[in-house]
Amino acid sequence: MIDTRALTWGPAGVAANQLTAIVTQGACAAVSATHATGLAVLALIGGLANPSSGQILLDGHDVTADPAARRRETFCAHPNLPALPVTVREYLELASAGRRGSDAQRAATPAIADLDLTRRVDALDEAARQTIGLAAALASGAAILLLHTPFATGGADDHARRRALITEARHRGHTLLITGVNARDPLVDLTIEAGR
Amino acid sequence: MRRLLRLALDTALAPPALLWAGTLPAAAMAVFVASWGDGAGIPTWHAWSFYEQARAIEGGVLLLVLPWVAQRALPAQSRADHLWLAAFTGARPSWLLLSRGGAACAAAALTVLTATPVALLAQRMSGGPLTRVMFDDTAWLGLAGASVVTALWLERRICSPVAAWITNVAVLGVLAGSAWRVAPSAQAAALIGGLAAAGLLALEMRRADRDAAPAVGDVP
Repeated sequence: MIDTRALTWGPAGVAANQLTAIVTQGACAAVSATHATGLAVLALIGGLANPSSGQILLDGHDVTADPAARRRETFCAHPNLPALPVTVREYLELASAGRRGSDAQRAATPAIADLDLTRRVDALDEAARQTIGLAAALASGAAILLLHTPFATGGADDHARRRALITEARHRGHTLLITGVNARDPLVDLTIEAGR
Repeated sequence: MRRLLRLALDTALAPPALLWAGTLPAAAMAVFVASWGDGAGIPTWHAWSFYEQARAIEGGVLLLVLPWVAQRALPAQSRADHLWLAAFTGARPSWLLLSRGGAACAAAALTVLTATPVALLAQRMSGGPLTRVMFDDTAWLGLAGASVVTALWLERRICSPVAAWITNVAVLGVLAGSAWRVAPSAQAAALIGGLAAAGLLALEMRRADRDAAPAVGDVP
């Protein structure tokens, strides 16, 4: 569960950015915000940035002051995930390297069954890398998946594949926070208004 | 950790320039040994043995090469890259730092150990005990570790690679000089270098675990 209490960020005096939201376990929430604000919300919850004030509780634990704990409990999938010089198989294994109880086999879903796991990730195009990033999110085993603009790149085939991966994540009980999706999208349970 | 270390090793040992740099100390020592001949006309330094002079030449080259190897073996990684990788793998940033440092230490150790066969030959020519080669190598391995940790510490603080290299050479020179003067033996020198490196590494690991972009504007 994600529970943010009066979370603010940005320079002092311009703290109009505030977020109070509760996302229960297994729910899929869309963050309704501008591109930059959406990324900021995911970065704050994912431990990539520190809030100016407020609290972040993940499964009841206050992890506001511990960015490393936030990074361990969550997985932040982004169109520009690191293009590491490894194969897709190794990439999926790396996504689960530091998380307890994780397993690269979790990424084995029909949605990516036809992907060549021996291809190097740094040689893939942006759209393929984003799809692999979502598969890595599944492989990570993180309870909370933060998906930044999951449909930002690629064509209809890529989008269908990613939609299948997100649906699979929902079936497996992951809590999802997504930016860049419509509030009326069937994937979405609730919408969080963030920012001004 | 095994996967992270393998990734770090693959990246650290990839640059072909490292191969050439790694052979430089051995090559310099080999040239000295080969040019010695029967020793006629070769100036000697105080009362040093042939082995000690060969080691001094190797040490001079190592002082310049080790910081360079340490820097090249640590692939360029900005703070943002480091944060993303920590978020991607879920690993503690200190472990990522440790795996990168471990891989760079392996490259630096290879640089030191490449010259060992020539050092053994030089000691055999000098007629001294071969165990001394091992002790001297141990001291240099300690200093190689110190050089890697210095490079890790400098990478977030000095942007220019040349300035970072010069600083690392200076630090290594001071450390080697201090160890030379203070330590009664090679093992003690290795201990001094190793302890200095371990202390600095512990500080860097602690800082890395607390690291996050201070403001959302700095989000990678």
